[in-house]
Amino acid sequence: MNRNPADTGTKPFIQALTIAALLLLRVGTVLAGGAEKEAELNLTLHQLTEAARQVAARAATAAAVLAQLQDRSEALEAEIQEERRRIRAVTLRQALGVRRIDYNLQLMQQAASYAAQIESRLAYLRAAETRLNAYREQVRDDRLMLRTLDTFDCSLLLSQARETIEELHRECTAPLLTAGKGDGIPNLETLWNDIVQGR
Amino acid sequence: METDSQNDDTPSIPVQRMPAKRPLALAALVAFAMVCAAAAGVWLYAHEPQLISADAVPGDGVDPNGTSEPKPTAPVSAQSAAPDEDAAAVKARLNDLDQLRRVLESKKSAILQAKHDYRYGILELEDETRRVIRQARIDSVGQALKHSGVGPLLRNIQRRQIYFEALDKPLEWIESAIEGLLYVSRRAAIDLLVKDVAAGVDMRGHLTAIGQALERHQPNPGRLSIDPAAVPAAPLAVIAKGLIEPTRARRGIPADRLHPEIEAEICSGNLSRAAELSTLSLRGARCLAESDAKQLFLNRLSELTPLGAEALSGWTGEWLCMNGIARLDPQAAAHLFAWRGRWLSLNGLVDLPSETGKHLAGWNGRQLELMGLRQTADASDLAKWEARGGRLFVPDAIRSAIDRAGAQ
Repeated sequence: MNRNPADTGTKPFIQALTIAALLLLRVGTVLAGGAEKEAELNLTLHQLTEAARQVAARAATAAAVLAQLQDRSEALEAEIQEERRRIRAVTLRQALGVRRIDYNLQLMQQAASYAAQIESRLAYLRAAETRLNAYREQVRDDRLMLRTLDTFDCSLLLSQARETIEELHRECTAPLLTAGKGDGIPNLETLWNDIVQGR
Repeated sequence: METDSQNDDTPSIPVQRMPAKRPLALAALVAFAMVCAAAAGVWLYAHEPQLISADAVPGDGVDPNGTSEPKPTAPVSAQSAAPDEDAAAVKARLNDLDQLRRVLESKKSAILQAKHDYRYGILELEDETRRVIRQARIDSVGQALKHSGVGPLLRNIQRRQIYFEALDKPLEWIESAIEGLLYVSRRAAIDLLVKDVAAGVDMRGHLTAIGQALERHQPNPGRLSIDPAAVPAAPLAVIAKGLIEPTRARRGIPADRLHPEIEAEICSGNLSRAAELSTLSLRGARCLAESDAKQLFLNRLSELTPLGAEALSGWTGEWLCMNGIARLDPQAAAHLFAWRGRWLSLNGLVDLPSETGKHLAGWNGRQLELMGLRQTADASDLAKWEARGGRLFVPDAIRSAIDRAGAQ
């Protein structure tokens, strides 16, 4: 069976073209895959930034409430000091004989319990801000690496970041404190001694 | 079929060779298109990645460098256990609490004023009784109880003491009520403060507590009633004994220094002999304070008791002249410098102790004469008073000290 001379001239070219096309396809596929990963990193970066805003807003709210609680507590303590000097009370027993001191100590216990819970949440939120910043830095670093090496695997970072974002979203929408919770309530004796010693 | 050139060594080009060139051109076009597409993709990816991203980020929130400032976001609403309507109801009820507390504060002030008046009245009566005891030279309780002038005075003292003490019961109830209301109000206020960020805040519980407090602390007649008969009265003999003893000790005071007649005139509105007073009883001080005189010259007075000063501090006149006083007790000074007049002459005062000076610095008058002053613990008190715009008259030595204090 004779081959057409025209066929013998075209075939290598077509083969070369096919190979080139396949190569281009591969380049395109790889590029598309890299682009997808980078887009994912960008999205995660955006979500981390949003989460950081949310955490900062929550921390600001917590700090504002805490400051108000502290103001109230200081006002209550000032009244106690005034009454204490007036009646020259030294012991808690003497102090509890004065209604204003007794009630103010109870209110200070309530405020102290709330403040302790908020302080704990505030510490958590401040740590969360640091965590988020670290993730954002890592995402930027990985994005740069991905632009350099498109096969770079950043799936672990993405899943960790997602978990953190979800956790922080939950924490930011959770109450800062639970009323009636016994945590952080100083006992009256300690509270009184601190007041007497001006601590 | 052969062409004319078939004899050439060069292979003849068949007519069909034209279609063989077409795939080449097509392939070249396709390859070119693919290269262009790839190049366009690369360019787009490099410059506008979000256009080709499968998960394009909505809006303009993406900061590729993550360096943009966080935008303020709406506050995150926490799950709150306290419905807003309950919180609003608590706020409204807190106003009721405040209102009731104001009513009770007003009652408390009225009771305290009455107690103050009774206390002062007792002191006045004691003053008067001592004078009578001194005049009548009464030495024993028996004599005092039998004396026609002293007996009624003692009974009046006893009655005022009973009233004074009887007021303690409603006063105690009111103070307790005020503190109770304040506590309930403050406790709710703290929960209102945290309600948006807290779980488990029981606003309904606060509503109940407020309702109970409002009911429990209403000042109805039963709660504010007094029962003088239930107050154990001090026996007249005990009252008399307490007045006879100090009177014995003061028996050395010359009779011409006691001025019951002048004080009686003052109390009846005649102040023409007020300048002759060398001592001032509480009754006399009260009558002077109640007078409409614009100026009082009491230069023969050599001492001013804290109670006397307290009474005089209520006088609404303008110029008080007491140049016979050489020393001023700090407690008396506290009352005297609370007087709201304009001009005070204390030219007999030789010394200004620190505590007295502090009270002086707070006086709101316009002119102060201290021309007899020889020493002062702290000239800065005088400098402070003067700095508020008052005119101060002092000897040169004190003036120098004030200037030094002012310069510092």
